[in-house]
Amino acid sequence: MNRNRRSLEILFLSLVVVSAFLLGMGQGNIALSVIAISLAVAAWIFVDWLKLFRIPRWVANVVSIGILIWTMSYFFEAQSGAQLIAVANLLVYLQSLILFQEKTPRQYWQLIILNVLQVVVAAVFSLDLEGGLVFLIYMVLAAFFLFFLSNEDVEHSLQETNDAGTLKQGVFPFFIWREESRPSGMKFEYPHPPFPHQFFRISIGHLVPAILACFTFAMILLVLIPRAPDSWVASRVMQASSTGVSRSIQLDSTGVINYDFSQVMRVKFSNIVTGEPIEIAGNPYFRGMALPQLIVRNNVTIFEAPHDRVFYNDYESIPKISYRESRLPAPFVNADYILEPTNDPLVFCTMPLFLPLEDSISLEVCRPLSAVVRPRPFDFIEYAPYRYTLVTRINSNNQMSSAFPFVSPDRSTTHFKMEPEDGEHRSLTYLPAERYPDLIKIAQDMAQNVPSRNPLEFGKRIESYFVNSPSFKYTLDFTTITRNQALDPIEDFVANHRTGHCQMYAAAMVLMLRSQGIPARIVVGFCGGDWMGDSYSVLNKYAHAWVEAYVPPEFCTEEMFRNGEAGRGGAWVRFDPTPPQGIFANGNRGGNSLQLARSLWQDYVMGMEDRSGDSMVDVPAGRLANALNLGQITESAQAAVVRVQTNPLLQAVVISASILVLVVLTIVALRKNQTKSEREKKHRAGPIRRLAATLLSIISSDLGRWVLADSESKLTVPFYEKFVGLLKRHGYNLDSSTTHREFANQVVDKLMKYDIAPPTQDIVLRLTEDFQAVRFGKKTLDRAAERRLWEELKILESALQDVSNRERTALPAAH
Amino acid sequence: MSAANKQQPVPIAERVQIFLTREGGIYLIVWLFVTSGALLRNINMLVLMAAIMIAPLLIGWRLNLAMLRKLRANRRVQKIAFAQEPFDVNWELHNDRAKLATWQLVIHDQGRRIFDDELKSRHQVVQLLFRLIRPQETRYQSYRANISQRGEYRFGPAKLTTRFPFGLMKATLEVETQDIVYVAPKLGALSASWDRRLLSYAAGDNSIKRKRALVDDEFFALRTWRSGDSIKQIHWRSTAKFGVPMVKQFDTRTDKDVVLILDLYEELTTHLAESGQDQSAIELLLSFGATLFSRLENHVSGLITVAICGSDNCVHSDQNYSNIAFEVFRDLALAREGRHPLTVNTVLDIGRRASEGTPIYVFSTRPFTDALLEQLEPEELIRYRSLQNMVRWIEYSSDEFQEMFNLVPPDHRELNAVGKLST
Repeated sequence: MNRNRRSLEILFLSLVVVSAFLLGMGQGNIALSVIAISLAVAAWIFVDWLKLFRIPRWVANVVSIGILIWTMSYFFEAQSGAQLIAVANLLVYLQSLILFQEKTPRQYWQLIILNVLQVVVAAVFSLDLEGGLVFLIYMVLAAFFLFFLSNEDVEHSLQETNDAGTLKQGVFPFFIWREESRPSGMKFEYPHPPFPHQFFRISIGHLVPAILACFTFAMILLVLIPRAPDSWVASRVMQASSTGVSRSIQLDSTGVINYDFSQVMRVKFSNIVTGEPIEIAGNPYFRGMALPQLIVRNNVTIFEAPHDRVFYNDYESIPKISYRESRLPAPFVNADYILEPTNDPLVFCTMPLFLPLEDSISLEVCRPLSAVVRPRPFDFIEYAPYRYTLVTRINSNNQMSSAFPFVSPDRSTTHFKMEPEDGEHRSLTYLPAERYPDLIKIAQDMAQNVPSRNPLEFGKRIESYFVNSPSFKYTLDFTTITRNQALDPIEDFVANHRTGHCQMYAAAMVLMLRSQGIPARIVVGFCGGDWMGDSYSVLNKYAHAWVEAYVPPEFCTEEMFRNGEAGRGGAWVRFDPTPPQGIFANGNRGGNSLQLARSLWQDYVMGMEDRSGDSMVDVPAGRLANALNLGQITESAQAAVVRVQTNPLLQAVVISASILVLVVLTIVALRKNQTKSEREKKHRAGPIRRLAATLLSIISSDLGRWVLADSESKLTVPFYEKFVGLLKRHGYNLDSSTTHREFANQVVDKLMKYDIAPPTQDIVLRLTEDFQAVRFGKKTLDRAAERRLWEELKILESALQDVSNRERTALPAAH
Repeated sequence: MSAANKQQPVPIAERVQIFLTREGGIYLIVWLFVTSGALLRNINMLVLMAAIMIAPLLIGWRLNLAMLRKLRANRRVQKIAFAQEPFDVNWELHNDRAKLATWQLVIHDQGRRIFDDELKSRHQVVQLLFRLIRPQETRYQSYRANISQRGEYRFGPAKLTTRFPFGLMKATLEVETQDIVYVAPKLGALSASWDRRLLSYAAGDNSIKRKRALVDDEFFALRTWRSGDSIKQIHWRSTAKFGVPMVKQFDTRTDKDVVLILDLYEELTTHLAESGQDQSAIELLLSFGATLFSRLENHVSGLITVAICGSDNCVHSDQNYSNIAFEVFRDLALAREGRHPLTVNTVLDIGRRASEGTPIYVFSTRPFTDALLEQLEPEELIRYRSLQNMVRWIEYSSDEFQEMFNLVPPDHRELNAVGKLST
């Protein structure tokens, strides 16, 4: 085993490991990666190193057809991401199958292609900074692999060419057939030069700068190429192990909650008239959804959304800003969102919420969730970032509104407040009071000092109680907190340890408000973000929970009405009881170096923001598509596909035609690839054997050759055989003492006696001469010559029949 | 034998052609797939991947082109070889560049047999690998060729290719030079008795010695002293060693002339061709002729006359062996059987070139019969009668011939493939 070959094997093993790692990172599932790595290692140990066994090629071909059918059955059943997973499965299993075969450079090329396609699939799924670095490592390894493979290919080609004409043998099941070589006129003995001293060191030394040049070239290209506005960003929102929004919060944390630094979205606030970026004073609140429903499960208070899914009949439209209002430079601002790819239809917004006049995006409010959503199928996996623009209101100090108008669900002109008898009111004031005695007591004590039981005032007091109290602390680490397990976690939090995170503070405030009959709910979303100079980068770690309390119109201030924060139905007022140390003030500018690297990766490699504002690819592509009426063609094609999918008969016809085309193409390709000697061999074989050889060649070329092997051993000339047989039937026997030409002369003499026409006599001589040329002179006849010969045989046959008839009718010789 | 070509390496054509290899084609298809996916779906990672993937193609293209420039190549091969005896084909490569080395350079050389008729032979290809040729360096490689059948063979044109480093692009450079090698018939072995007979003692007792310049005889061997040997020839040191008088023996070149005629007559070829027997006879005679002629170099200083009578009649005469060696072996390589019988008159005409009394050896496929004399005119017949004793007609199948020459006849299956080179 030379060094080059061993290096090739080790490198490919490394490539499999890296690509499997990338695939696992992309899918978020390591099962396939483990399978790929295990099989690759096993193959290297048992096939390449110990050489214990290897799968014959024909077996591998049959198995690969089975793998293709099996994985493609999943492919056609699945949608979007699952289809990619099916493709990934196919690639991994085919790769593993080839690894268990004898590997020539051709097999290694097949392996590297399958491996690269796996990386392509991984890239489509998702690759963040770490994945990107692994990807770059993969490309370096692949470059080295190509180098060693090129060396191996040269060696292999050298050996194949120089060994041509030697004895070949093949094995099929347990039969060994031999293809005897013809004695060749020339034989060469060629040297096999060893690798010069330090060949690998020097050549790899040259390779490193070449690889660096490749990367430099790629980065330059990456910077210069036009960027499309809807560029896909590789990363997607991963379900946070800790921070992040969820549809349910359970307030009995006992471990450590970790920060997640992955980006959720980018938000740019800009002047609605000038487009100038605006930095919000204080922390912007990006509202996700409300969790109004309170349940107790296993002695733990849980706040959750009324249901997990979005139902299509629960939508409400988002109001558009009025034409008149849009002309005001303030307080309306545009909020441009770029949401990372996510499975969740939930989008984030700032309140109050409006749609731009000219916008036509399909966002709606799901009232039960009190959330803005985009309606689409549940199993749809989003690969692209989602862009949308909303309009919100800020005050002259660039501060966000802390309230937004309440709109009654039925929007009636009379019932526009939330009344105590309303279901929503009941739901939002429900609490099992017996679970929170101390909490309720504190709330009652505070409520007594609130004039007129003003919910607005009451809410501010509660907020102040938590925010300004030195006894309340913020933490994400609950391992050091001693809890009273007999109490509800919120009760325990308020009454005892007073240490918790935003959800606990929000939950406590909601319970306090509800205890005084004020409808309140927890809202989850994000608060704050990293200011990047013109926009906010909102990371998962900025996930936050706060409170919204309903304030009836009679308690809303004039300023609230003036600012549009309150309507005739009252207002939802935002309260944030979490102490300030729990919120990153003004965002984390820049962060640590890893954070910076992530931002750079996201922005300048994956983010691909279109700096020019125009795309050199999309616009001309769009124009070309319009010119070619591609849209219409696409629609027609789609309609045709639908028609086929719904008609079983059409499906059967299409599938049959496809299979037929595939078989024909395969046969044509196989014929083209045949060498001249193989065609000659086939030519000598019968039609059934030829067909069998062709069909079997689809599975294995060895099988095809095995079928034809016999035809090579007989050095016969079919047309002469027929010629001799024909003559024998008419009483002309060729014996061993007579040469073929003498025999031909004898036959001609006899034909002359019966006055058979000279052209027919010439046939005999011509056939004999052609036989001599083919048999001894190794000439090959083309199709036209063959056809002529067979026709001449027919003419001869009729002439001989005529002679035989004359002989039978002739009078017997006189004695 | 004639020396191999001793030309200086010639600069080869500057026109380097660059091709995409099969692997490069597949690589390009994958790249197109990645690029189209990147553009159509705007997948940024695929854009990065496509950008990285295109670079090796571009680097390979430029590097391969550069590596084949300013290379000088030369093939050196002997003009005459013998069937079934290996000979070397040497290649010399010089890198004229100042900085860039050439890596993994493959020379695709080819040989083929040249025929007169329509039958064509396929090329036999051989590849030589030069792993590294540093700047201003010359490298040598050779391969050994073994040709089983006599004939005219052409080596070349050759191609230089390299695919370093990634194997995606292949640069090719044609080396147009071609070399002809004449492969003479296979050499056999003369029996000892005939060796002496033909070359030493039976070269014509009555032939007139030619005057030649006095040239020192060449030392040949040591033997014991015999009556008649000169005392000056005694080698005293060997005498002391062996205890008996020892003399130096010198290669005694005969001044006598030699006439050899090969009669490659084809008769009853139709029948014999099918059994391969007549081809054996021709080849046997030619091998004998080559063997015999090769032995003449060190043993004959008189006039050497060799005639090969077949489809063409070729006669070569010279006192200097080396002057006719190339032509004789070439004609032996290319000789074909003829259908026109060699006449006695022709034999006598050929024999006339040599000095009187020189035996005329005719080695033929057919026996000498009186029918051959019937063709002679009366004067010619008289002349023949006078020289009758000088003409030694030996048929290939006679016991005499079988005694004198030993050569395993070639396999008739190979002979049936005469005219074809198979790979």
